[in-house]
Amino acid sequence: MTDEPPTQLPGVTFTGTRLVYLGRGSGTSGDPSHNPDQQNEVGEGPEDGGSSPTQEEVDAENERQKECAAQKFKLELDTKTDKDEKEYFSYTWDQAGQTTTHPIRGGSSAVIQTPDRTAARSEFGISNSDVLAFNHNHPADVYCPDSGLTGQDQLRANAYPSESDWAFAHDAVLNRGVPSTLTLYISDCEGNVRGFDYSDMQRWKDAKTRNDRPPMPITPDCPE
Amino acid sequence: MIALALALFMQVYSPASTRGWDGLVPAPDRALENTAAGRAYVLEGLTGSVGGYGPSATLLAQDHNRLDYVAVSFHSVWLTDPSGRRTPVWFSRLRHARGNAVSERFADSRTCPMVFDLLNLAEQLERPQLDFIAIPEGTSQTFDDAPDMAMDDVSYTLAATGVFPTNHTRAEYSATGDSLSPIGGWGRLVLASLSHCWSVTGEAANGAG
Repeated sequence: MTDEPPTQLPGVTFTGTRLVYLGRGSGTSGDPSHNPDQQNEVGEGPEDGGSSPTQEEVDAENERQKECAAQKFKLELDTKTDKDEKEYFSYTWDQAGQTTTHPIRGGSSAVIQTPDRTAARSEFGISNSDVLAFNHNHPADVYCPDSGLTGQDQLRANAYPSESDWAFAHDAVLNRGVPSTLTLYISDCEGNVRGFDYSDMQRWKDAKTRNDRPPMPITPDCPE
Repeated sequence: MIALALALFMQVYSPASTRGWDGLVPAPDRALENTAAGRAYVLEGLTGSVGGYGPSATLLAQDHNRLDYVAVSFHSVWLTDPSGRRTPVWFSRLRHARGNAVSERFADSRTCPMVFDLLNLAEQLERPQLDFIAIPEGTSQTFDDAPDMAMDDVSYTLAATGVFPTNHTRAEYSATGDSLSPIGGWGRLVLASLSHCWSVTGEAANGAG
């Protein structure tokens, strides 16, 4: 067994080794389909006297790794002087079992267009079936100007993914994306970051239509 | 018409100028109960009768993140002059909602010929082909098969009566595109071209003959 991580392209960041639940009493490991030699043992089976992480615990750890990537996106976004008028993005993907993200990219115009996303995937070798999350911001000058709307209405609408955000996710899933793991992370006008799972798309669309309070911002526990 | 076509081209291929319609439509001048009521008011404008015939075509422009919605419907009437001659008049109704604040305006082709010209342009718009992402074209199975799409963009929908040209059977046509699409370009042109035409009264609708 080796602890060698997969090759790390310049600029990309690993936020953790993804876990795979192998069943009750079998412990967990990094995804053997990616790298069978690289195991991420976080527990032992009951037969070994240890406590095996549950499916929920495995899901929570994988979620934390995605949230740490989203938090990294937000930290980089805060260094951009034009973040209030322009959209930035980054992908989070599974690179040989590692939750991986790249430095943020700006859209070629105020909005992110297909060529912007294509260039990033090409540079970092991201295949659609490995995408775990897409992080981007909703610029304050675009979506939260002094509009005459009540601030609460505007902020709530802005906190959720837009119709075209969901259309992007839907197209990605149709083209070999994995619906159970794809999450949209949105940094809203106030700088809060929230996650929206593709698997809950209709629920979030309905919540936005009702102008429900959006979910709590993410606050992941990430290493320095 | 050449100037119109050029304007349409610029609208389609100038994405930096395509966000929103501030200044192109009248500002809201009264309030409804809530934002959902505002959007429902606009959507009702796509089908509700205002006299005459139609609507024969409608434009719906939506910016969900700004809670900003615009509908323009195109209707026709026949007006009879003193000599008994009947001539068609096209008129438009605009409804705009931003949050729960709404407005309604009218325009007609006698004082604003662009109403008619814009419908002529709509007939010439490129129409989309059906394209299913999960059915790869040829041997390619890459993500790039997905059509170009701008995230967090506004959307434009054109709905109209149509015809299947080969056997001349009736069709109801509807297509939605973002601001980079031909429909988006046409939608922006509608809002820009009619911006000086809107009146608070629907004279043509009231004078249907």
